[in-house]
Formats: sequence, structure tokens, C-alpha cells
Amino acid sequence: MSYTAPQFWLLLFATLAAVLLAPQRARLWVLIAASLAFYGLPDATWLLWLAGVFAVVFAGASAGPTAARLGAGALVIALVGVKFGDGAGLPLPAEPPGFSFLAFTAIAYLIDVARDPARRVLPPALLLHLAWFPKLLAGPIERSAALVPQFSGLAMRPGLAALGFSLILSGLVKKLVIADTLAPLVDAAYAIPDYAAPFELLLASYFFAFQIYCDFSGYSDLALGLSALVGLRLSQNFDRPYLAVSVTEFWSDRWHITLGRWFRDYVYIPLGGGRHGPARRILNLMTVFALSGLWHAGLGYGVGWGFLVWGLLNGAVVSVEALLPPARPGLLRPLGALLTFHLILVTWVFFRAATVEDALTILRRIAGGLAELPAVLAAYPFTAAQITGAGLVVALLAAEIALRGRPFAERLADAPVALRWAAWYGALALLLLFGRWQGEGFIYARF
Amino acid sequence: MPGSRPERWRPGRIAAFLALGGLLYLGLLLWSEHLVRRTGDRNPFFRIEQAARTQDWLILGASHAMPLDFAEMESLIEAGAGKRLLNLSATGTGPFVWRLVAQRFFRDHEAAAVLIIIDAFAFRDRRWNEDRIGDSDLMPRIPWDRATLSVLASSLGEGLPPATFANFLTGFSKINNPDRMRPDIWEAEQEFERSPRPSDAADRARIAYLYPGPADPAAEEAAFGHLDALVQLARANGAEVILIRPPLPDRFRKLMPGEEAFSGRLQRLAVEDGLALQDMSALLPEPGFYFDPDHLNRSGVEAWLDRGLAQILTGP
Repeated sequence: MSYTAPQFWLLLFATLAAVLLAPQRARLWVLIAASLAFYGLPDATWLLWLAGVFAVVFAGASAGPTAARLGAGALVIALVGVKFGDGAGLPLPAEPPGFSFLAFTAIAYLIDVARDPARRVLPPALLLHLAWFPKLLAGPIERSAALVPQFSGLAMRPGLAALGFSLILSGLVKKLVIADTLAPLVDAAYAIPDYAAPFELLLASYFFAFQIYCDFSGYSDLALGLSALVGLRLSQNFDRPYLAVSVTEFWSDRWHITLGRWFRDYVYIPLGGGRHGPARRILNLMTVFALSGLWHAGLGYGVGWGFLVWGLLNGAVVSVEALLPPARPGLLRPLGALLTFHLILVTWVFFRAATVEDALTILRRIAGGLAELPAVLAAYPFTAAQITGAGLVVALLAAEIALRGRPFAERLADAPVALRWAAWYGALALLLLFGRWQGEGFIYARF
Repeated sequence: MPGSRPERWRPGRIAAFLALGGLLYLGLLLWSEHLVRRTGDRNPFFRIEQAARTQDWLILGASHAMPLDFAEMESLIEAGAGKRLLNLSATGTGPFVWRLVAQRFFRDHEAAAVLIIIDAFAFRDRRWNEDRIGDSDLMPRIPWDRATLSVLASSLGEGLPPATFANFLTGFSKINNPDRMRPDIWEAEQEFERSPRPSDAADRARIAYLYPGPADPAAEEAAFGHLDALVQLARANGAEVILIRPPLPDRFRKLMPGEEAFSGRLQRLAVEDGLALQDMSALLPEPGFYFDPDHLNRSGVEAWLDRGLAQILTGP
């Protein structure tokens, strides 16, 4: 169900009303019902997938550590199957939306239970932990130890509701105003790279970096905000990623943080992490990034090799950084952030381009046009859409640089009423005037 | 920290927030309505609002009827025929939209006759009918008034999607219109004087756009029903009705699927309703009369007038 569809907002209001009216012990069931409705209304067969995952997790967790590990293995096989089965000619059903995130959550739970059986939770809490609808399609990937204890305190509270409202507005502005304004500019340039001017490709590549950031972090903000409305605090998934001063920092602390931690805890550390010397550490890092690339590359109808290249490139840069002495940012911090951003930018080209050949064409054409960039820039006939896109990117960056420390939504939730309301009305006006409500779905819901 | 805030709901404050939000919405809506009227031009509902109460001819149809008022053509036709014309055609529209437009027109206007320019593609799919009215180039340009609201409300049972009605009621698409500052024109009008060399690829692309798949029998049935209802509506308001199939280049007509069946069905409707049906589709077969695969250019419109249309418009 799309977050921009009227049905979604009706479901949300009904859920909030039910949470408000229901006694505490029934609220868990209200959220389970809402989550099942959210997932099952567009296509009831998706509920079968959810039921299947729940059955594997429940059975695996109930039957001891070995069974839990086997259950996790079965989910990995299922994930590989839906990602690559069709491309390999196997008659497997299509992947339902958000299956990867469901599987990541389930695998984390099974491994946690295998390591410590005391972490088992009761079936209703497990079902809600897996299926909680705001995070179902694209995370954050929650751990049961952080989320499940909160189920005993489900309630609408003014403070958290204000925070939730701020996060929802922030998420919608990022997605509907910024990401969806940039999307057509990127699509136009990347459609046939040979026909696009080098400067247009360069501009589109910058725009894509912010499109995917606002698209994905917008989703996360929405998930956090919707959860806060009923008293749940989800994990922060983004922390101003383009201000990272190294690619390592980008991946470990700023971008898709919960996935990074998932790979750290369930892949990198079990492989030995950095404990067995630099060569093994680099091998482990490359394995993690190759797996991340492979996860993105499984399209269900073939393999997106560009995603694998993207993963390996990031792994290579992180590996190089691991061999270098620790940086002392200081005055060079802005320079480090600029360099990191551009390294990430190059890898995004492989992520976004239709094929690896297209990505290489784009990079070659951009590189070929760099010498003439000042002259082109001076005479380039910028369109209104490009100027709007650039303005939105600059405004976003300025806000992120200015608002260091606590996230913007948290500050806003604690701000004086007049300031808070002014910001909320401003966001609402932006959404009404410039939001692209008929736009595309979230990018990461496809993975 | 949010947790340090007193955990107490303040209904008065929530009500004040909602009330101020409502005022903000109303302000944006009024500004958007102002822009609809400032930038309006092609939208048939806008044209009705601007039009004189009494007309001799009301013209309904899709884009093939639009060249009749490109440049100064409408004034020339009016001067030649001695009649007042109101062209309410709109791109990509079918009988459902024409009927809505006519319903709105006859709420507070009169016409001696209605000329319906019939395009076969417009009968084959909901996208040109029930789903078309809510599109981003039509709905945000419809001025808000009670008569239009009433017409749309009464069409809910006739297939108008409830979301489209809610959209008009709330004015959301007007506030959210990214083209709010642009004049409501059809860019193709700038090509009106041109007569480009025909292109097989352009013909095929145009056919693929207008006829993307097999006709939907249910949509076709509904479309003929709307045409019939439109005819009855016009007659009930004292207007004569004439159906015309517009001129098209031979090379384009040959690509149109399901022509024979459609023509037969249209003929039967005309006979049953006692309607005048003029099939002029083969009147101007040469591509030189068109500014693109299927739209008449200036010389095409002039030739059409010379070869029969002017005579029709001189009556009733």
C-alpha cells in the first residue's frame, strides 16, 4: 500500500483511533491487525509470505539453537531464491514488497535466539516485530531486543506524537518534494547516456545522490514518525550521510545504519572481523560489500551487475581506508567530506545506470567534459526544473550543516509552540504546493 | 527531550492547530482559484464560465476538433457562417467527458445546435473517459462553482471515480498543480501553420498512443451510452445534434484498428436516434493538410470548411 494513497491515511487514522480507544492489552493486536491490513490489502497472497516467514521463525526459535540457525539458513535460501530464481529460470513466485527487510529482521531474531535463547519472545510480539507496517517495506531493520520491550507501553503520547508528526512531515517533504522533483531530471539524462550532454550527466549524477538519499531517508523518517505516534521508537537509519569524512564513516555510522549493523553483527564479526590481521580484515570487508551488492543485484528478473560493481567499489574504498592511518579531520574536515561525497557519487553511477556499460559511458563522458566545465557552466541554459532541483539540494545541505547534533525533528518537537507550528505549516504548504503525490514508489521498497 | 514534555493532551491547542491549518488550506485554495482564472484558456469548463449565455453552435470532441479555433479560425468561421461558436473540445477526451461538459454548459447556457466531432479511439478505453477528467491537465484547470460541483456529484453514479470528485471538491489538484503559472494552452497550436513531411514512425507512435490495446467492450458500451445520453441531453435543451467524423490522412486511417465495427455501431446509433451523421474522414486524404500525423493545419481547416463544414455550420 502506497504511503501517498488515501487508503493508507484512512488505515492510519483508524489505527490511531483504535490505539486511543483500546485498552493497553489490546493495543498490540490493533497494531498487528493494522500491519496485516497494510500488507494484505493490495495483494492477499503477500500475507502467505508473511505467514511463511513467521512460521519458520517461530518454529526455529522454539526448537533450540540448531533449529534457529537452520531457520535462518532457510530464510537466506528463500531470499536468494526470490532474488535470483527467476533469472536462473526457476519457476519461483515473484518477491513480495519488502521481503528482504522482513527476512533480515527474521534472520537477526533467529541468530539472536540461537546465541541466547532467553531472547525468545511471545508469538504476538514476534508477529508485530516482524510485520510492524511502517518499517515493513524498507526498514529500519530492528532488533527484537530494542523493539519488543516497547510493546508493553503502546500509547499515543503528546511528546512522542509531536516528534512523530515532525518526522512524518520531514519524510514526506524529503520524498515528495525533493526526491520526486529530482527523479525525472535523473531519468531523462540516464535514459540514453550517449544522447545526454556531459554536463547534463554530471548534474543528473549529483541529483541522483540526493534523490536516493531523500527517497530512502524520507521513508525512514516516515517509519520512525508513524511508530512514534503509537509510542514506539525505531532506530535512526540515517545521520546526515554526505557530511561523512570517510567512506567507512559513511557506511558504518551515517547511511542505512541498521543494515550496516546487521552486516557487522551477522556477517563481518562471525567471519572474524578485523581480528585476524589486515588481509583477513580486507577479505571480510570485501565479502560484506559484495554481499550487499548482490542483495541489491537480485532483481527477481535477472541480475543487476551494476549493483555488484557498486558494492565492490565501496568495499575497495573502505578496504583502502582500513589500511591507512586514522585521519585527523580538524581543518581538513570539509575537504574530507567533499572527497568522500565524490567517491560515493562515482559509485552511485553504477547503482543508478541501467547497465555497467551505461555507467562507464556516463563516467567517461563526464570525465571527457570536465575540461570544458567552466565554459559550459557559464553558458548553460539551465531549465526551471534544474534550478529548482539545485535549490532544493542546497537548502537540504544548508539545513543539515546548520543543524548539527540532535536530529532536526527531535529539536523541533521540543521547540516553542510558535516555532514548531510555523515549521509544520511550512512543511504542509510545501507538500501541498510542490509535493508530487502521483510520483513513483520508494526506491528501496523494490529491494 | 520529547519525554520531558508534560504528557497531557491539549484539545484546545489541537483544535487551534487544525483551524489555522484549515485557514492555510483555504488561503492556498483561493490563490489557486485565482490562478486558474488568470491562466485559463483551453479548459472547457473555464470556457463555459467565460462564454456568453447563448450560443449558436456548441462544439464537442477530442483534439481533432481543436484546430477549428486555432489562431483566428474561430472568428473567421463565425464571420463566414454568421453564427456564434463555442468550441469545448479537449485533447484525449471521449463521450463521458463531452457529456459532463455539455451537462455543465446546459446548466446556465443555451445552444441552438451541438456539433460532436467523433473519434473512434475515444470510445475504446476508460482512460479517455471516466479516468480522463481527473488528469493533471484537466482537473486542476476547472474553475470551482456550484453548477460544476452539482454536475460532477450527479455523475458519481455514471462512472465518475469518487477520488476525482473528492479532488474537485477539495481543490487539491489546483493547489498542487506544478503548472499553475503556465497558461492553459495546447502547445500543438504553434504547429498550426506547418505541413511537415509525413513519417511512418510518427504515424505508428501516434496510433500506439491512441490505440494501445484491444478495445475494452465494457468501456465501449459505456461510451456509446454516454454519447446517447449526451444526444438526449442536448435535445432536451432544445439543441439540434450533428455527428461528424473528422478528416484524417489516408495513411493514418489505414492504421486505425477496428474501424469497420466502430463505423457500423455509430451508424446504428445515428439511425436509432434519428441523428445526422456526416463521415468526413476520407475528405482530406493528403498529408499536406495536417501539421502532424492526424491534426489539421490551417490549409486543412480551410479545405474542410470549403468542402462541407461551412455549409453545415451555416445551419440550423
